Amino acid sequence: MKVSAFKSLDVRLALIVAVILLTFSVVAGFFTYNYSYQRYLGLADEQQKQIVRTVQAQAEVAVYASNEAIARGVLEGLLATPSILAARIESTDIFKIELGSRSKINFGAGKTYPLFSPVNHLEAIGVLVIVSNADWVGGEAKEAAIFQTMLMLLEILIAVLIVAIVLRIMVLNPIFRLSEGMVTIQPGSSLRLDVEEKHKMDQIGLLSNRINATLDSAEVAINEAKAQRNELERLSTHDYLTGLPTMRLAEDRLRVACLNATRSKEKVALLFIDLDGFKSVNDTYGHELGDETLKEVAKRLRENLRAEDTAARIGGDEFIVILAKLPDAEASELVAKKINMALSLPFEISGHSLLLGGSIGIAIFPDHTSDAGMLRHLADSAMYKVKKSEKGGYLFGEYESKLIA
Amino acid sequence: MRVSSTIQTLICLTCLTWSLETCAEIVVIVNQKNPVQTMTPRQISDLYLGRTRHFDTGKGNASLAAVVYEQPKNSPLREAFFHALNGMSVDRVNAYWARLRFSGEVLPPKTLTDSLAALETVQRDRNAISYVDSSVVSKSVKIVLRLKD
Repeated sequence: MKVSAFKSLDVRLALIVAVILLTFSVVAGFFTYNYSYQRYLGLADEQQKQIVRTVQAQAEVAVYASNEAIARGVLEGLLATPSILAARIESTDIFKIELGSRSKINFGAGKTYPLFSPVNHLEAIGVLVIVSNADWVGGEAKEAAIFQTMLMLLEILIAVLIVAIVLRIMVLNPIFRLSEGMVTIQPGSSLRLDVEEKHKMDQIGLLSNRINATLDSAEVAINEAKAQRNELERLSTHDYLTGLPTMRLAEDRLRVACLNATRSKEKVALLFIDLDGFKSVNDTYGHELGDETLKEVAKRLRENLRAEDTAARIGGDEFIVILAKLPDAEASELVAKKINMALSLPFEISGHSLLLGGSIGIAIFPDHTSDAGMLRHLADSAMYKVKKSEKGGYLFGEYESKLIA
Repeated sequence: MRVSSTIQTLICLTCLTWSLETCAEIVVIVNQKNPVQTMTPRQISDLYLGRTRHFDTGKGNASLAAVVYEQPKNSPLREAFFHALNGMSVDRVNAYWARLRFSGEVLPPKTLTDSLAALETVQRDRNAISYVDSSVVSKSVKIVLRLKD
């Protein structure tokens, strides 16, 4: 994701700082300008005093000796300074010399400096009047003030830029790298953000560590959730007690086996098994022992089946077995015998030796029926017949199929 | 006459070599033909600082240009003269003249070698004014002001 320029933190910070500093600058600029302006005027004033001091002795001699040439020299020297518009030397008697760049100069507005006798420094003999070039001095002061103000504003601008650049380098680029790093890391994955050495001890490092900690807990939580989901899925298709497929899964397996058998011209046998004597075990020794017995039953069923066969628990002590890819019906008979044998062996549960047995009804696809539902019904009926007649035997549902057909 | 002149010279020379204490009085002298009888320190100061270039001969009289003669620049006599005349130090007088001479219009006073030369010059020149130690002064010149050190 690209962050637009105006939303970017450094630009925003720069703008905020710029706005605040600009507000400040207006005030500071105003004061700086006025201060610089006044200061320059003060300096110009001081400068004029110094100039006067350098020419004072000369002016005093000029007045004392009423020497026009010297007076003119002094005035010309003064007028060479751009800050002076006009100057006049006048003695207490008639001697008076004035020089100015313009015809009409108001000497009343000028600054008056007393001139003393070279013989007696306490005796005033005249004055030096200087009319400042107010426009020029004002202009110079303005220029100096503007320069000072600009310099200050430039400093502020540079400071703002530096803040923005430093922010970008120190904070934004690391954050950008973090976000780039996050792109490759999916929640639940074992990937983590790298924490650069230089950021180990700062907020960027802290943020990275927090993110990594969150990724850690996310990984744990997601893996747990995955495991739970798998377990739930397994529970919906497998019996919680024996771990055998439930009826739902068994029905699906049967359907698939029948479809395959049709194509390969093979047979599928469905064995319906009901335990004999289980009810009394349950009643005598309790459910826990009964559960252990059922687990053992499931184990024995599995042991007598091929990998492609399915044993499923479909009720309390009812099981079915699907024998897929059978060459003929007789093969199922072998399996039924084996199962009968296995179930008739004593069950050693919690120190008790229990004797059980199984009644098995067998239905063959497609010999007895080509309908899966009917197949189960046939096997069920055959099992009931076994149950009624002799214990621990098996019977094909052949007769029933013929009957129904 | 000759002997007296020699003695006079000797006395004067001795005087110059001695310190100023012995030359307690400085006299400002003009030519005998100068109509001016006495002068104020201010008038003499103005002449020596170039403020005026004429003798104040009074109303109705023909004006008389003044030719000012100075003693050597750093002589004790000159120092004593200005000190007694207007309180200026020799340095200030020199600086003053340096500035005034800058204009080119005013020439500073001509400098003589010593009091005798001054005496002779004033004796000869009708427009001259100078100052000497009172011990060398003679009747050949007119004293217009006595300055006590």
